Order: sequence, then structure tokens, then C-alpha cells
Amino acid sequence: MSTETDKMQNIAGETRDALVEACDITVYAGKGKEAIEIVKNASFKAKNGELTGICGPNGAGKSTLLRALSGFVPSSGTVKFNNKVLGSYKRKEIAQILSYMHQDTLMPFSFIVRDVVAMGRFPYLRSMSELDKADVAVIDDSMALAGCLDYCDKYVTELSGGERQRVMLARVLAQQTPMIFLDEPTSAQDIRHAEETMSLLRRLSDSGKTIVTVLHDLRLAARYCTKTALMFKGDIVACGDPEEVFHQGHLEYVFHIKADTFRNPAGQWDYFTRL
Amino acid sequence: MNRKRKEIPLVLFLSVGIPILFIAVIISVAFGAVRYDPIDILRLFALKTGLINSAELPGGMEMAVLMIRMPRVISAVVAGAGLAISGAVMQGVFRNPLAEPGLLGVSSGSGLGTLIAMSTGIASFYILPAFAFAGAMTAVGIILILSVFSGARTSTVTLIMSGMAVSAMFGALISVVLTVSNQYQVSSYIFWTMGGLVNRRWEHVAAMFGPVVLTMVLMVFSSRKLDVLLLGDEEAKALGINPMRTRIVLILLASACTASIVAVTGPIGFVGLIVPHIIRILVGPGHRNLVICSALAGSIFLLLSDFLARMLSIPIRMEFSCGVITALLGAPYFIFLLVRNTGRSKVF
Repeated sequence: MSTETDKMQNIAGETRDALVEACDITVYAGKGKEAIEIVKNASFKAKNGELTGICGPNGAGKSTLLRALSGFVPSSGTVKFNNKVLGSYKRKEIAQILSYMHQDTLMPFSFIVRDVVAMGRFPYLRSMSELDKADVAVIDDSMALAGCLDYCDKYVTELSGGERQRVMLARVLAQQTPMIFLDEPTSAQDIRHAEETMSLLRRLSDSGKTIVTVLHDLRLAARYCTKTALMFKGDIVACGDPEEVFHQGHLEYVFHIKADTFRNPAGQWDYFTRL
Repeated sequence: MNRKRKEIPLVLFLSVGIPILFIAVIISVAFGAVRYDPIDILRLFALKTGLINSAELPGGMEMAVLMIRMPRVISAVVAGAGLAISGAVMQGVFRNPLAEPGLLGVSSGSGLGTLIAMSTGIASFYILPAFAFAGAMTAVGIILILSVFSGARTSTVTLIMSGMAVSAMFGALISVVLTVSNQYQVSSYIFWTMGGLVNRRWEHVAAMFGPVVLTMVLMVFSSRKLDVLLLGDEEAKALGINPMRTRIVLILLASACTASIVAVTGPIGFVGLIVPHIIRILVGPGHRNLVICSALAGSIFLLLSDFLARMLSIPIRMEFSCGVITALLGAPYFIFLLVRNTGRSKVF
């Protein structure tokens, strides 16, 4: 049995440069005159060792920004990975630099968990080659870290939403990329698994990965992220140290709710709300 | 609650399936309106493949077997494999266990092509399949062009919608041509729509063989892409695939494969739907094993259906289409599976 550190080592691999720079990103929904801006002139930067949380109310454009950063939706402005424009990469090259986790991925057929995680190895495989020992080790370690090893022989269609989310997290880890983008990886997790997921992401970023994640839970964001970006109506209104970004005034402006921030007995940033 | 996997390994499936197919071929060739001894059939095969130098065979058997029964039997084997593969691929591409090539106008297109050939009186041994194939590919082509031009972010829903629209249009055109056709043409069209393998010749086998084998090989090579496509478009992109381009190539391939079969046999329903469904339960949904095992099972299923159609036709002196048998056998089994598996695999 390999230790936790070995598993981290195996997934993290050697640290590769992973600098994300986005400048003046604007994303439109719809066509022609009726088009509305979902993300407006957003500029954003993330580098190795950073765990960035994108927070904000529903419809603020968090997921869209993340998808624009990944090149999934057309946007104006420029996105650069390691000082090279995103458009100049081939899809398969990007797949070895960036992995992306959707909020909820539903598989239409009953695959076994292990086989879904194995799909994360796709960018490294030729069309007819079998998984080798190293691939299998990466898959096992990914499942162990994401916390889905217990049910790795079960059908993915029979899992709960939270369990399925951890399978997709393992799949993303198995891709072994220096950049990881996640869209609400804790949305279906219970409090323990949410903490475990965030703590794992933090350890991965500490080991040198560049991680950007959309998050709804401000407490988790404040506790684990090295940096947060607060979005409102397509704008990034504040970006930087989590506790400064989640300032009472900011929260009131963005969420339209009176929030008192304080330090809880454990010494962590916390808040309570009044409508 | 959660069951552990029980998927049959590929090698086990093939080592049981291939002998079954072989036995089914021998029996199909041996039995019919005229019966031969299956041992004689084996002797004939051995003689033709050079395993033995001489054999005493019943008079006229060689001719009947090689020119009449064998082409029909091999047609069933090739067509069954092709229909099952196309079904499996379409279900994967559309992420929907109910998808089949008919969804994108293959049936209505080939129907119109056939009917035009029949009504204009130019239908012949070669012209009819050519028209059917051309009609099918026209329908599929229109649908794919529509979805390509409607924007880069075309979803599978757009494809299905344009498929429905084009099918409806072709259906209406079929009605128009039927209205101006004479009674004989109408009845021969209706007979064609039942699908069947009666009087198929080696030329028919040859026409299907290429597309079916090509599709099978390419699908096995693209099987990992098909698996990844099931995760969804953005996940597929993140893993390095261009989902729409991959989808269009796979659809074209599966449609051409089905069209070449339908052109020869007429529409035979249910093989493409039910065979991949059963195989998915047996060997799992991974496309490499799914495509290989579906091909084998499709061959056996269509061969046995055709055999049954032939045997049933002896006492009543009327030939059933094997399309009728596949539906009569397939539909109840499908319902049985749905009832038994409710709650097991949440397939929509």
C-alpha cells in the first residue's frame, strides 16, 4: 500500500508550469440584437500553487467564466495558458494541461466506476492501446484521493449525486494535468466530504497545481482557497485574499443580504445572515 | 443496494458466441423446404475449403446450397451484424438507448428512393438498392448539413429535431409518389417495407460486406472516443475530443452502413435497438466490447429470425418477412427486460 503522500506524488507528478491569464473576457448569450453579456470584460490570473475560488450569486456568470477560460464557449478577449494563446493549442494538447469537472455529469449507461475514472487517461492513450501498470496506478490513486475507492466496482448509474461527483473528481485527477478547473465540486457533497474535497484541492495546489473552482459555500472558500474572486452580474467585483473579498459591504452589494462576518471559536472566518 | 459488477469478459463471450453462430449457419443451410443432412453440409464446406478432396453428396445439393441458401444465410449474418453495430453506435452518439439510424431519416430516405425506382419503372436488380442507398444518404446528408450550418454548438436535440422534420418531409413525398403509382407498384413497395432476405444473391452480400466490415473496424478503433463522448460534450472537449466533428463522422459511418443493408434487405426493425441493449447488460457499456459482441449477437439474431421465417413458411406456403419475426420476437423480450430491470440501470 502506498501512503497518502505517495498517492499525492503520483497524481501531482512533476510540477509543470500552469499560468492562466485572461484579459477582457466577454461572453454573450444569444445572437444579434438580443444578445446579453453574461461575462463582461473580466480579467483574471491564476498561477501554480494557487487555489482560486470563484464565488457569487446565481446567474453572476461564474460557470460561464470558467467555461470561457477552458475555451468551451466563444468569448472576446484573450485567454493565455503559459503565455500562449488558448486558440493556438490543439485539443489534445489542452487535455494534457487542463482538466475540467462539470457540476453534474450523468452517464446514460451503467459503466463501472473504475472504467469512468479510466476515461481520464484518454489524452495519453492511443486508440487501441490497453491501460498499462502506470495508468492503473494513477487510476487507483485518484480514486483513493477522491474517496471513491470503496465503491470502485459499482455501477456509476446506481450512485448518489455526491458519490458520482467524487467519481468525476477522480476522473479529473487521473488526467494528471497541472491546471484543474472545477464547477462546484462540492455541490452534492455532505459536510464531511465537502471538507475532504476542499482539503484535497488545497493539498494539490500546495503541491504546485493551478486550481480554479466555482464555489457557493463562502465558508469553505474562505477556509481553503488561497484567493477568491467575487462575481456580480458578469463582473469580477473583487479578487484577492478571501477574507478581504468577503467583506460585509461586498456581500451586501452582491447577495443583497445583511451578513455579519466574525471569527468563530475555531478562529476561522465565518458569517451569519439576516434578510 | 449497489450491486457489484458482473460483466462477461470478451473472450468468454466470443468463445461461446462464435460456435453458436457456426452451428446456426449449418442448421440454417441444412433445413428448409428441402432438407439436407447437416453432416453433408459440413462435408460440402470441407470440400470447398480444400480440407477434403472428394465427398459423396446428394444430387443438386451443391447448387442449392451455394447459390440459394448460402447467400441468404450470409446476408442475414452480415446484415444482422451491421444493423446491431449501427444501433450501438447511434445510441452512444446520442447518449440515448432508444436511438437508431432511423432517427436520422435512413428509413424514410431509403423508402423514398426505393419507391421512386419502383414507380418510374427503372427498378432492377442493381438500380433498386442504389436508389434506396442514395435516398437514405440524401436524408442523412440534409440533416447533418442543417445541423452544421445552424451553428457550432449544435446539440443532439437539434439533430433529432431536424431528423424528425426531414423524415416527415420524406414521408409526405412517399405519400405523393404512392398517390400517383399504380396498384402493382404500391403493393410491391409495401412488400419491400416489410424487409426480408428472400432470393438474396452473392452480389447482395458483396454490396453489404464492405460497409459493414469497414464500420465495424473503424468503430472498434474509435471505441474509446465513443465512451468519452458519453460523458457529455464539454467533458469530451476537456479530454481532447471535438465532439461535434466526431459525432458527425460516426453518424455518417453508421448511416452508410445501415443504408447499404436497408438497400438490400428493406427495413428490418428491432435488431439495432434490442441487440445492443441486451449486450450492454451482458458485457457492459464500453464500446469496444459492445461493438464486437453486438455484431456477433446481431448476426445470430437475424439468422435465427430468418430461419424461423423460412420454417414457418413451409406449412402455410407463404413467406413471412424476417423483419416481421425480429419484431415479434424482439418486442416482447424488450418489454420483459424493461419490466425486469426497472430501477436497476437508470437508462433515462
